[in-house]
Amino acid sequence: MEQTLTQPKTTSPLRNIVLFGGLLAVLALVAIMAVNLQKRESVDLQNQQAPDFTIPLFAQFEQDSVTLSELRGQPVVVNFWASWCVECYKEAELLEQAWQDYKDQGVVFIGIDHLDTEKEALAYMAKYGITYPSGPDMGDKASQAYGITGVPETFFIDKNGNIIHVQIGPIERAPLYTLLNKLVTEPGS
Amino acid sequence: MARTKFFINLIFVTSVLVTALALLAPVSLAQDPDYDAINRIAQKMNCPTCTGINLADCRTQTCAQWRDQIGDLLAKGMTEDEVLDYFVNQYGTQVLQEPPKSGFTLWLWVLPVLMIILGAGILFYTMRKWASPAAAPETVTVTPGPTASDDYLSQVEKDLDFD
Amino acid sequence: MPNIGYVAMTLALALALYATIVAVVGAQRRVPELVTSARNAAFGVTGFLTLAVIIIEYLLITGHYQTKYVFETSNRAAPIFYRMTALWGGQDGSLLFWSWLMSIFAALVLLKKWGSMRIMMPYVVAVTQITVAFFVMLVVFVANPFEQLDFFPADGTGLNPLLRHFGMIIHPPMLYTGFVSFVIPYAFAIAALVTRQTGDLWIRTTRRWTLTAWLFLSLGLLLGGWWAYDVLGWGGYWGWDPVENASLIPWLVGTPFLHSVMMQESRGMLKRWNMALIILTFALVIEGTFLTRSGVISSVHTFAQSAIGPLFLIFIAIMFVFSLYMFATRWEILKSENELDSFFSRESVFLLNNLIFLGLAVVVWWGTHFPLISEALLGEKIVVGPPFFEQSAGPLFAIILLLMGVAPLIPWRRASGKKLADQLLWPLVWGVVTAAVLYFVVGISIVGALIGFGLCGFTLGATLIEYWRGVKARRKSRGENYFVALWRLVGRNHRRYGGYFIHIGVVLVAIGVVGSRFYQVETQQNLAVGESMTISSPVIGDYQLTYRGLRGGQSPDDRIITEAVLDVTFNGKPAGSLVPVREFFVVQQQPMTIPDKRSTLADDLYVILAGWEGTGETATFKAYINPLVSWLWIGGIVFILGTVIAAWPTAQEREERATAKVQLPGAAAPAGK
Repeated sequence: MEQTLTQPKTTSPLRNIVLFGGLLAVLALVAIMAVNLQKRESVDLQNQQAPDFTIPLFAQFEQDSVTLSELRGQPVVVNFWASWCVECYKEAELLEQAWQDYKDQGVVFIGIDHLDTEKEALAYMAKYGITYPSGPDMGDKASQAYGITGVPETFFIDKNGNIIHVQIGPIERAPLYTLLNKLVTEPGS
Repeated sequence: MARTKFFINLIFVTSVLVTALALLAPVSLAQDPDYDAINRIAQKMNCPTCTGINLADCRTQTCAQWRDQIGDLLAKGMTEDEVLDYFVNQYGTQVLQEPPKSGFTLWLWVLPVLMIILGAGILFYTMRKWASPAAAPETVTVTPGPTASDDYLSQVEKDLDFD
Repeated sequence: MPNIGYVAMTLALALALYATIVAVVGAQRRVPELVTSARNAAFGVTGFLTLAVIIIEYLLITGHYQTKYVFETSNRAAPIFYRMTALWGGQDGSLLFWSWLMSIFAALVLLKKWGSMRIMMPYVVAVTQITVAFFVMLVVFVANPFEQLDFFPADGTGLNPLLRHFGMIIHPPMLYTGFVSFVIPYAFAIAALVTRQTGDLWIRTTRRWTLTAWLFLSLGLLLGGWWAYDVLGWGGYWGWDPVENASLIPWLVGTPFLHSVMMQESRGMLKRWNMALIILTFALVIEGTFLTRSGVISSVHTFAQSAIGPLFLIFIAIMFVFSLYMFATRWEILKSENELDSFFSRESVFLLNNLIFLGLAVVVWWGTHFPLISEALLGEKIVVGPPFFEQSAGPLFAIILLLMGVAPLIPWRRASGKKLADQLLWPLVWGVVTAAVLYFVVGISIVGALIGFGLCGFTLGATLIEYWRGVKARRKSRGENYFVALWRLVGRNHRRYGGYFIHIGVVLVAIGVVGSRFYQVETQQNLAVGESMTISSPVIGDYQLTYRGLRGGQSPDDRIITEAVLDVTFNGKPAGSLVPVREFFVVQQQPMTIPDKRSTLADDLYVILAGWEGTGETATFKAYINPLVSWLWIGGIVFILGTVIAAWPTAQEREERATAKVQLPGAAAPAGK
């Protein structure tokens, strides 16, 4: 038996609150999630301008700190590493060797130490003979700016500040030197 | 004159020896760190490379290194707060288990309280409305029929000598 | 073979979409043949998904490593059992598993309920099938478990070592079953809305589904806690990890739903509220699944990130907006006979129960999502760890404990002040005496623990009194002896006395939580062979652990096992030995720190091997005393028993179902005439 519905004279305010409140909540949720899902990871930085950063350098270096934007006009290789990162061991000596080979051509290597303790970091650098400017990522800011999802990750930045290649994981000799050649031969603007 | 010189030399040599001993002593007295003191601080921090576990409970090598770092800082005489500040400076606020109660993060604590108060208010208002028999303007005539559970309940109530 | 599996999934998807559309069209246009066709299609979906599951299991068991999923979640050395359960060890497989379970339950509903509610059935089919379709769509297009690698690996990379534990084996199936079962009451609720039902039909029909869903969800949560405690080696059982929270939140909304449907059945109240609750529960189940799998929050549990996230968001948004629309347009007809006779009534307690549980859901949801919100709005990464949750949720749980004790004692409609005071007197005495004894005799002094234990005493007393009064009444009126009286008392009303048994289970769990939370003690020390360490708890006593040495070996499974032997004395007397273990899984390069425990009703002595030097001349141990933690697991078992009792149909109910068709207003004439 159908029941008779008397026509409501006014729509319940509670109903409207529930309806619009619910819609708003869903909208807010989707918006927040969408923003987070679009979180830029390092791979998305390919062909983008390299985010600027300033990191202090370890005690053995003359300079106190290094800022990326001050190096505009020179190619820069930024390598995120950590002493506890097993994969980093594979490329450590290679990176140092590449630094030695290319520093006279104006390429700057920067090592950013990610979530590491100074004691262990210095021991690592001593072990692999790392002499290029390296320092801790204070406040984890550079790591977050570059969206790294692990270590090692290396960013090859040309003279104009563009990231021409994002390397996830350790790099091997041949691709490394190819990229370095490209960085030095590309004209600056 | 010669005696003064002798004594000055003696004092000088003695100072050097004492200083040398003082410097050597910490090396030979190497002890285990106070793990419990370290863990008390580490419990308030997060594992840097894993999530959902705190620094004291995490068994990775990275966590062990970080705990060593805490030990070093404590040995230097830092207080717990100073150690935590050091880590926040070094690695960001994400290392803390409990975000600092300032700025936007206050909303973490405040919002649930506000929601519950709001809910309680709505509940109270609604209960008052239901407790007073004033009819609402729009009505739907629906007569609730006997539901099966009513029978169960009346049976049990009968069994229970209750009200 | 894998291709057959893929085709099976695709056919299942097609049939599920077909069933959804055709069911709705058939209902709207009153073409019963279409509805029947949809029903059959639903069975077909289950059939094809079963085939897909059989095939993936075959690939897993036979080690077909060219299949990417098999490669990633198993390896030669893994025992067959773990290879089989790898079905839910990774993203793709577990999504297939989810879909399969959903399709089974969707089919089960169709098998059992078809006759009595033909009017709602098409919409139940539509809602359940579109949910199945969504999950199958994910495995067909985005997370294909049958995907092949373009090389032929000789061996797989193996299952995550953390998952090699009995608790971890059945925890996901329990949780998924719980989630999937909650879709059924939701489907009926939507069907009731669409067909403009105003009565209880949808609630009464799905009562057992709701209870079952709740049971499996509770089991899943408890198993997860047990697994964490037993295997992960951090001395605790709940970490407030985002994925743990994602499965807790539906439970926090499902539990008040379970209770307030009682109010709808006995007093006709809260129709709109219950509708809202079940819609919210479903939304939170899907949102929780999204949170776990989209990679949007990193967690110990999360699966890898992929396109899954956005698809989930779209599904949640569509279903929620649709439900909201239905709810809003049927708002008027859902008006309940809401009469509150008195503020002192069981109704008030139930309403308060709803408020507090929803408050808990807000706390947990907000704390879990806050890092996302903070990062989205400010770009700042923070972590919300256990301290926030414990401080915010603790007091709320305490209130729930109190309400659980008050509710059975307070009658429906109106409680006269004197009568209420009489009812509450004895439980109150129990509670206060408990706290007093603990304080003066045992030496418990932490306020939180005293309040917690006091409330446990109160609620336990209140619940036991309910049994006592019932038994007493039966003895008086029928002259039965105590045992028979109890048996028959429970037998006549499973829901009530099963429910009280569940409450007792909850109190036992609470005892375990309060004890282990407030009085856990831990210490870490480095020991040379022969050296001892002491750990003491103010209430329990002292343990002395003496390190005897390290021993080890390689197990056939391809892991390196190192064990440490410790002799234990408790308060001076020898108490056996403990052997905590460190396992290193060679293939995955992953270590596991597995504790050994000495468990009694009073406490657990829990020890892990944190590290060692050389060949074990010295080793570092971390020891915990967890008072009363065994009561968590005991309480869990009581919980389960109580739910089984509550869900079991009584003789009277079975009789009623067989004979009468209860006529309820609002149930429109059956279609098909």
